[in-house]
Formats: sequence, structure tokens, C-alpha cells
Amino acid sequence: MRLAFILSEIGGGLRRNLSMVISVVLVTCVSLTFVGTAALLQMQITQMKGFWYDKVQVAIFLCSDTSNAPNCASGPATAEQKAGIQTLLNSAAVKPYIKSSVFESQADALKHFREQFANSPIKDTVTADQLPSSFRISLVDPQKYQIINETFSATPGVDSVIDQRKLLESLFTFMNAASVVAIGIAALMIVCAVLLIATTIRLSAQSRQREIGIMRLVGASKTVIQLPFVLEGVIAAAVGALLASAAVWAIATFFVQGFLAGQFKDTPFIAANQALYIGPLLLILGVALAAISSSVSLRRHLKV
Amino acid sequence: MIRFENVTKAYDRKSRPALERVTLEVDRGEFAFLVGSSGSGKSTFLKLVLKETRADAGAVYVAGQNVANVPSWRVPKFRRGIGVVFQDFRLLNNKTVFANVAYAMQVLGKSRSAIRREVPDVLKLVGLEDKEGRKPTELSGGEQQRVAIARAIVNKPGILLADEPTGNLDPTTSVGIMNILDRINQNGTTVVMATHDDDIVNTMRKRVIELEGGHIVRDEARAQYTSMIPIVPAAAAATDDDGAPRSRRARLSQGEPDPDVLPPRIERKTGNEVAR
Ligand SMILES: Nc1ncnc2c1ncn2[C@@H]1O[C@H](COP(=O)(O)OP(=O)(O)OP(=O)(O)O)[C@@H](O)[C@H]1O
Ligand SMILES: [Mg+2]
Repeated sequence: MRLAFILSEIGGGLRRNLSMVISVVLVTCVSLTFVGTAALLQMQITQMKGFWYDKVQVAIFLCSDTSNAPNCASGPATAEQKAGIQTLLNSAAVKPYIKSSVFESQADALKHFREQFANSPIKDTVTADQLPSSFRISLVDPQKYQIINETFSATPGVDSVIDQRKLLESLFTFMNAASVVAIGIAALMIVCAVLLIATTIRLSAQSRQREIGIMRLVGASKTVIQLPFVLEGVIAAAVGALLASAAVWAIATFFVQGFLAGQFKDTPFIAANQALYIGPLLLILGVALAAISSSVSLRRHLKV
Repeated sequence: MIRFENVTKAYDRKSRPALERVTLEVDRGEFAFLVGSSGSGKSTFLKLVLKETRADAGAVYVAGQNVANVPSWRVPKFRRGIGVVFQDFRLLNNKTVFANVAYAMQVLGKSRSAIRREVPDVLKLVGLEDKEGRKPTELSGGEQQRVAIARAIVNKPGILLADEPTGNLDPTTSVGIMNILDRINQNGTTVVMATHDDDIVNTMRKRVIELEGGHIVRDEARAQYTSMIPIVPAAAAATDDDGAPRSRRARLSQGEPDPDVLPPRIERKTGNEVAR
């Protein structure tokens, strides 16, 4: 009976303050969508790390027709120079650091390039002799790039030694920065949401001063008086959180899987259903924020 | 049932206390009028009983319990033992008479069957059994006050506090309200009623506690009361905001009466001339 009473009070409250409730829903939805997006970015970084850190490769590019490094002044790398590098790779000084090495010919390089940039128009403008051949090396310890660099960068026929992990790291830095921005916007929006919930609850309580006065006089418990108001905010925030979860899922499905995955085939993307794990977190966050802000607001504005 | 021991209450330090060293006892089943000019502390007395406000000094006992020792989480339960009625009815205009009374039971979590059983009984007690489907706006003031009384007693409190319950009503309607309060009192409920209405006090012949400037100046059983009749210019008398049509009685207009500049009063004991 008391439950029925509380539920009917909540229903009445939501109906009375419909426009405020809708704005709470929207603001919560937007702020939690930013939180969810930041979470997606972090999941994506984890995903990419898991994939690349296994296969991380140092590339030793050999001199080609187009290279202009000082080391390549004598023209494209010769067969002897290539054999010399191979020998060096197998030498006792270097061997312990190397897990495996593969030689990528210019033809292979073109093939991989075309795969990687399948959706880009530049793939048709590049020819095999513009691309250097290379040794692709995976290290026992990816941190030991410097040793390979020192050993090979001055070796005849070597154009450059590149740590591909470095390239990825700048991508990760970018993605982390993007998450920070998303979290920053989310924090601002959450402040808005909290204030809006507090205001909504206060207005709702003020519009029901008379009922509250009567409840206090006849000895209704604090819970019975306050719960409808708190739940009003919590329900609005929960609806916002559910919408945000749907938005995050839509981002993962239609943007990441539907668009990005098609665009960047060489990059592993999170699966759409991984976004489903974010939903409950957003729900808990939204509900907790609403519960806290509405109880604080009630404590300040509703004497019981 | 209600006991005040040297109770002092000042709302702020600057002004004189609303109640000062008030000692008083109202027994179980008693009917007491609380009279006195505006600002004499009647409402403050009732608020102290309800633990709406805290006494600065002294102790207030309600049903044998020192209200200062009622922890805040127990206050709702404590208030269930006390019904309250106000001058302005305080009904919910969007609810029917029945729903207004039922509301007091609903918020305490009473079952639907208990509500269906008990609400008609109290409505019958206040004489509104045929109007339970009306909205307060469709009732006269007296009927609205009866709804408020029904709501105050539906949870069967041992004490009923009434703060000028007839303040907005004409004399005939007031008599009806007083009959209901008397009936409630005869059913065993302790009733304390603050009022300005001499006619009512004089008709009822109950205990009269008179306050003045926060002090009890008179406490008599089966007593009468004549509110002071200050000599006031007609203009001040016209500002009477009491709303009651009692032209034969000039009153102080609103504001706190300063005891020092209080107009001369006529001898109170000759109050018998008030006809009723
Ligand atoms: N909440 C409050 N804050 C400050 N002062 C108050 C408050 N309530 C009452 N007072 C003061 O306390 C004194 C007593 O007020 P109280 O309401 O008890 O008078 P009363 O006898 O009920 O008057 P009335 O007949 O006009 O209702 C008055 O001087 C009033 O100004
Ligand atoms: Mg008063």
C-alpha cells in the first residue's frame, strides 16, 4: 500500500514536471554518451595494443631508387648488401634480441601497401620501385629497439630503421587525448545534469509544499515523503542512461563497425557487442548521480 | 497528556521570547482553550507540542515523553499521536473529500481495506458522509474545516491541536465545528484549541488558558473570555484581517503588540455581557 502510494506519487510528479523531466533525461543522456564514448576509445586502445604488441615490428628499410638518405648515395641496395644485413641479423650480437625476421621485397611491399590502403585512391598511384624493400623484425623485447637501430642504421644499403611501435604510440596518444576531451565534456555535462536534477527536484518539492506539509503533520516517515522525489530524479536519469547506452551501442555498431572498420581494414576494431558492457555502467553512474544530487537537494530544500 | 515545565522559546535573540517560563499541564481527555491577543504565543505553544520547533529552556512532555528526547527519526511516529487542524484548512484541492482523508492513512501505509472501512466512519462523525465525492472547492468553509478535522483524527491520535479552526468561519458554522470537536473530545481525545473567538469560549465553558506576551496570565476551568477591546480609531479597526464578521468587537490590527503602549483594556471579568 505504501509502495502503491509512492508509485502513484512518482507518476504524478513525472507528469507534472514533464518538461523538466525531459530535460533531465536529455542532459543525462548526452553526458553519459560522452562517458560511454570515452570508454569505447579506451576499449579500442586496449584492443589495438593487444593486437600490435604481439606483432610489433622494427622495419629496416633498404635503399631504393627514391631514397635520399646519405647512406644510400651509392644507389639501391645491392644483393651483397642485403646478404650482409641478413648475416648481421644472424650474428651473435644481434640474434638474441630477435624473435623472427622476414624479408619484404618491393613486390611484397606493394601488395601490402595496396591492402592497407585499399579504400584510398593513392593505392593506384604507387609503383613497386617507389617502395623500399625491408627486413621486418619482431623483437623478443619490443623496448630494445635502440640496439637494432644502432647496429643497422650505419650499415651499407640501409635507408632507415623504424620503430613501428612509435608510430602506434602517437595514435594511442591521440586516442587518449580524445578520451580526455570526451571525459572533460562529460564532466561538464554531468555538472549540468546534477544541477538540473537538483533544481527539478527542488521545484517539484516546492510545487508540492502543501502535500509535504500534510504528510509531515500526519507523521509520514521521511522515506515516504522523500522517496517519490528522489525516485523522480533517479527514473529520469535512468531513462537518460538507457538512451545513452543505446547511443553508445549505435556508435559501436554503425560508426565503428559499420564505417571505421570498413575504412581501416588493417586495424582491429572493437566488436559492437562489447559496447553492451558499457550500458550497465552508465546506468549505475546515472542512477547514483541522480540519487546523490536529489537527496542533497532535498536535504537543503525540504524540511522533514 | 501535555506538560510544559518552565518552557521558554525565543525565535531570535533580539525580540522578547514568544513564550517565557510557561508551566502548564493538560490532562488526558481534557478540552482546553488557548486564548490571548495576536502574537501572545498560542501558535508557538502548539508548535512546541508538535516538536515543530525546539524549546530554548524547560521541558515539554507529550504523552509522558520529553519531546527533546524524541530523536529526529522518531518524530514522524511521534506526530502520529497528534492531530492538527488549522485556520486555513490545508486541504488538497485536486483530491476528493474521501481522498483527502484517505491521504493521511495512505502516507502511513495503511491498507486499502482499512481505509475503506475507517474513512467513511470519520466522515460520518464530522457529518460529511454524503459529500465524500466532492472536491474541497465545491464545499463551504465549514465543510472544508470538517474535512480537515476528519483527516486530523482518522489515524486516531490521542491529542488534537486546533489553531484557530473557526478563524475563517461565521459564528453559526463555528458552532457546528465546535460541536464536532466536543464530540471528538468526548470520545477521549485531548483537545487543545487556540482561538480568538470569545463567543465560542463562552459557549463551551471549558478550561481557558490565557497567554499574554508569552506568559500565562490566566488558567481557569469552565471559564469565559473576552478579548481585550482596545480603543482604536475606526481606520485601524477596518484593517481587521481576521475575516470574521464580528463588528461589535474592535481588535488590534496585525503586528506585535508592545505591552508598554498597549491600549487600556476594559475589565475582563465583566465579559459576561457578551451575548450568546
Ligand atoms: N517562525 C518565527 N520566527 C520568528 N518569530 C516568530 C515566528 N513565529 C512566531 N514568531 C513570533 O513569536 C511571537 C508569538 O507568535 P505566535 O505565532 O505564537 O502568536 P499567536 O498567539 O499564535 O498569534 P496569532 O493569534 O496572531 O496567531 C510573535 O511575536 C511572533 O512574531
Ligand atoms: Mg497563531
